[in-house]
Amino acid sequence: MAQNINPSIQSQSGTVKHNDDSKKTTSDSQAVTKRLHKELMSLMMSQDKSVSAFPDGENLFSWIGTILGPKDSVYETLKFKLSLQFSSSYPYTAPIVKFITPCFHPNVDTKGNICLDILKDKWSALYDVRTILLSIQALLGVPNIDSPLNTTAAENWQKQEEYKKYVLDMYKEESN
Amino acid sequence: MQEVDVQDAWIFINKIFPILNSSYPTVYTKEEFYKAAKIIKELNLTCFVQDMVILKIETSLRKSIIPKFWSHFKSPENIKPFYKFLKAIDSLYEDYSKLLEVINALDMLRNINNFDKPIMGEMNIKNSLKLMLKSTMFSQHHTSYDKVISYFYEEALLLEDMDSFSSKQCPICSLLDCSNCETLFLKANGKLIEMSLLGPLTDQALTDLIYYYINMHIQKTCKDNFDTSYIESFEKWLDRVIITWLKKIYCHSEVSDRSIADFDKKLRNYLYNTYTKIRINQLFNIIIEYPDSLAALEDIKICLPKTDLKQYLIKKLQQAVETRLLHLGVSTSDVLTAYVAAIRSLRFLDPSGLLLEVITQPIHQYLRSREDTVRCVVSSLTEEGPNDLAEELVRGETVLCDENTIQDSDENWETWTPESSDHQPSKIPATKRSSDIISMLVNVYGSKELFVNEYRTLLADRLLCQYSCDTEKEIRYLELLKLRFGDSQLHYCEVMLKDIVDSKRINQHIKQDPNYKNQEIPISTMIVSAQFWPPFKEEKLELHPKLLTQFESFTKGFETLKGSRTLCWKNHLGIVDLEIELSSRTLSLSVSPVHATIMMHFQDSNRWTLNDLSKTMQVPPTVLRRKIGFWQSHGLLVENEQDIFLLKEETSEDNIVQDNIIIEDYESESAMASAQDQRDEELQTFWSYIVGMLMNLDTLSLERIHQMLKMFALQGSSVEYNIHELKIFLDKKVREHQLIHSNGLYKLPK
Repeated sequence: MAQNINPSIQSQSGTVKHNDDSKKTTSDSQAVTKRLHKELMSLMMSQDKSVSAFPDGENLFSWIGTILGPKDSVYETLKFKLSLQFSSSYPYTAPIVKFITPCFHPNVDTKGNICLDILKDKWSALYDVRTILLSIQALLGVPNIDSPLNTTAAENWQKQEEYKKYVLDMYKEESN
Repeated sequence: MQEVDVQDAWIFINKIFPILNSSYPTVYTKEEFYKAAKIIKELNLTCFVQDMVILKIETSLRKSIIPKFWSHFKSPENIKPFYKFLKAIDSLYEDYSKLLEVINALDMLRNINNFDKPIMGEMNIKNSLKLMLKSTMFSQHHTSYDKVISYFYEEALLLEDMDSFSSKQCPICSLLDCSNCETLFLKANGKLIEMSLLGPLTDQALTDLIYYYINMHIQKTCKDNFDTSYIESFEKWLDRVIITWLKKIYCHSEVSDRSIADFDKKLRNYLYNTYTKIRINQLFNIIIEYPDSLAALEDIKICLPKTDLKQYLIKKLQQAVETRLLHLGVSTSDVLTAYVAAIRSLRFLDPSGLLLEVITQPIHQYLRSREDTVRCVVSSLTEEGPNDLAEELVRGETVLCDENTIQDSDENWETWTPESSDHQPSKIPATKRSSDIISMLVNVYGSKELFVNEYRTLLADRLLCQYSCDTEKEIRYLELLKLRFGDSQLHYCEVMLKDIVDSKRINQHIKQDPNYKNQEIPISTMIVSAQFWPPFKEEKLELHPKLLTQFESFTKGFETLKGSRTLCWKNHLGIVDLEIELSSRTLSLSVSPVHATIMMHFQDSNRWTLNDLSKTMQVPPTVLRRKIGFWQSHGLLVENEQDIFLLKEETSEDNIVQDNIIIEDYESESAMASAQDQRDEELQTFWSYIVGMLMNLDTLSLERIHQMLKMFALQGSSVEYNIHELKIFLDKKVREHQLIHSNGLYKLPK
C-alpha cells in the first residue's frame, strides 16, 4: 500500500546515501510525536465520549484507551481498557492494540490480542487512534465468527442470553 | 353514762358537721349548735373534731370536687371552651360555698371553745380552705387544661376587642349585640377572685394569651406595610383594649392599681420588643424599599433605644444580607442597588455610621470578589435615566478616599447607641465616617485608579460602538467625575473624547484635500491616540483590495496634514454600511468589517472554500466560520459541502426574521481585549485533557496531572500554569461535583 510508506524514507533512500541514521530517526520520531500530539488534541476536543485514550504516563508512544460497550450488544454498559503501543514508524505501521480488561469475544484471545483486519494487513495511515477505537467498539457488537481467536466464544455467540450472562459474570469477577 | 354521752355527742356533732357523714346540707338551730359545742368541749374533742372535719374536707376535695372540676375541661370537643370553663367555675363555686359553710361552722366552734390551733399553718381558717382548694387543684392539674383556660380568656378578649373586627357579632355566642356573655365572664372572674384562684389558676394563661395577642396584632397590622408609623397606634390600642380589659378582670380583686400599672409597663415593654423584632426581621425588605419605607425606619429608630435589640438587629440583618443578597443568584447591579439602599437607610437609622460599617462590611468583601462590580458601578454612574448612583454623582462631593475606614471599625460598636432623633446634624463631628455613597463604593476597591481605568474601558467601548461624534453627554459626565476624582486621573479620558472631536475635523479636512480622491466607497475615520486609549482586542484582518488603495490615500492625506505622524489601521474595528443587491431583493445592513469583507469576496467569486477565504482574509478558519454563520443566518451563504460556501441569490423568506437579534449580538461584543475570555478558553482546553487522562488512567495525583498537562497539553502553548493554580482549578471542579478527590488522588465521578 503506497500510503503506508513513509515518503521521506523513500525519497531519502533514493537520493542521499551518507545520511546519518540516528538523525533520520530523530526527525522521524519528531514527526510521529507531532502527529500523536495532534491526535490527542482532536481526541480531547471531540464530543464523543464513548471512546477515549490518553498517553500512559511520560511516554507519548504508549497509550491507554477506553471504550464503552456498544449499545444493544451484550457488552452494553461495560467499559473496556486497551493498551496502544505506537512504533516510531507510526502512522505507516499500525499500533499494537490489546485489551487490558479481559474480554470474552470471538475475535479476542485470552491474552487480549485482537484479530481485526485494519490492525493487520488492512492498516492505512489514514486511520488514527479514534478510528481504531471506534472499529474495535464496532467489532464488539458485530464479531467475525469465521476467523475466531476464541472458539468457545464463537460457538456460543448465537446464544445471546447465555453469552451476555457469561460476559457480565466474568466482567464482574474481574473488576472485583 | 359515759357510753351514752359519747353516743349522743356523736349524733350532735354529726348534726352540726354532717360532712363527717359525707352529707350536706347542714340544718341545725343555734341552740343545737351551742349544745354540741358544749359537749365537744366537755369531752375535750375540739381538736379531734377539727381534724376529722378537715380530713373530710380534704378527702371530699381530692376525691370528688376537684376531679369534677377538671372533668369539665375534658368534656366533649363540641362545647366551646368558654362554656366549659364557665361551667367548671360554677360547679366549683357551688361546692366551695358548701365547704365554706362547714368551715364557718368550724370557725364558730373554735370561737366558742376558744380553740386556736392553726390549720395548715393558717390562723384564719377560711384561708386554710383556700389553701387546700388550691393545693388539691394543682395536684391534679394537667397542662392540657391550660388550653381551655387560654381559650376562655381569648374568647373574652375577642369580645372586648370587637372594634378591631368591625363586626357586631359576639365571638362567643354568635349573637348580635350580646351583652350576656360579658356579664357571664365577669361573674366567673368574680367567683375566681372570691376563691382566690384568679391569680394562681389563670395568670400564666392570661399572660401568654396577652403576649400572643399583642404579637398577632402587630404581625397582622404591619405585615408588608412599611410606609406607616405604628408606634402611636399600637400604644393606643394597648390602652384601649388590653389594659381596659385587664382592669375589668381584676376590678374586684385585691390586686392593687400599682400592680396593674406594673403589668402595664411590662406589656408596653413587650409591645416595643415585639414590634422592633418584627420590624428587624423585615429590615432587609424595608431597606430594599427605601425611601418608601421611611416610616418603618423611623419606628425602628425610636424603638431601638427602648429595647435591647441592637445585637439582634445586627445579627438578623447580616443573616438576611447573607442569604438574600450575597450569592450567585443575584446580579451585581441588584447587589449594588441594595447596597446603596442599605447605605441610605442605615445612615438614617444611625447617623454615626457605625451600624453601617458593621452591616456593609460583608457586602464590601463580596463585591470585591465579583468581577463585574466596577463595570456595573461605572455603567450605572453614567447610565441614562433615573438612577441612584447617577443622582449621587450629580449631587457632587469630592471623594475622600480614606483607606483607613476599615481599620476604624475596630472601635467598639457593641456600645453603640443610636443618635436621638433630636440630634442636630451639624453637631456630628467631622471625624465621623464619610457616608457619601460614591466614596464608599470606590472604597470597596480602595483605589481610584481601578475605578478610573474601568471607566476608561467602558468609555472607549461606548465611543467605538456608537460611531457617532455626539460627545456632549460624555463630556458632561466626565466633568462630574473630574469633580470627584480629580483632573489628573481622568486626563486620559479627556484625550479620548478630544480624539473623537478631532477625528471629525480631520476627516472633513482630508476629504477637502484635492489629492484625496473620493472613490466609490466613502470612508469616515476615527483617529485615536494609541497612547491614551486602552489596548484593543487584537484581531488580524486583511481587507478587500478595493478598500486598501483608499486607505492608503487617506493615510497620505493624514501624513501631509500632521507631518511626523502616521496612521495605523485597525481593520477589524468599525462599522460598515452595506447594501447588498441580489437578484431577488436588496439588503441594507450595518455590519462589522469582517462581515463586510466576507461579502466583498463573495462579490468577486460566488464559491469559496473556508481555507482559501481564511488565507485571503488572514482570519483563522474557526473565527471565519463563525462570521460566515452570520450570513448563513441571513440566507445569503450556504455551506454546500464541508467547508465550501456558496453565494445564494434566491432566498426563502423565513430566514430573514432573526436578522436583528444576530446583528445586536455581534454589535454588543466589546472591542476591548478581555483577558478573562482568553483564560477561560484555555482552562476549558485543560479540562478536556484532564477528563481524558482521568477517563483512561482512572486516578491521578495533583503532581501527575500537572506533569501530564505540561507534557501533552501545554506543548506549543505559551501559557504558564503553575501547580498552585491547577489545584485551585481542580478544587473548583470538585466542588462542582465534576471531580472526586480522595486520598490525594483525583478521579472522575461514576
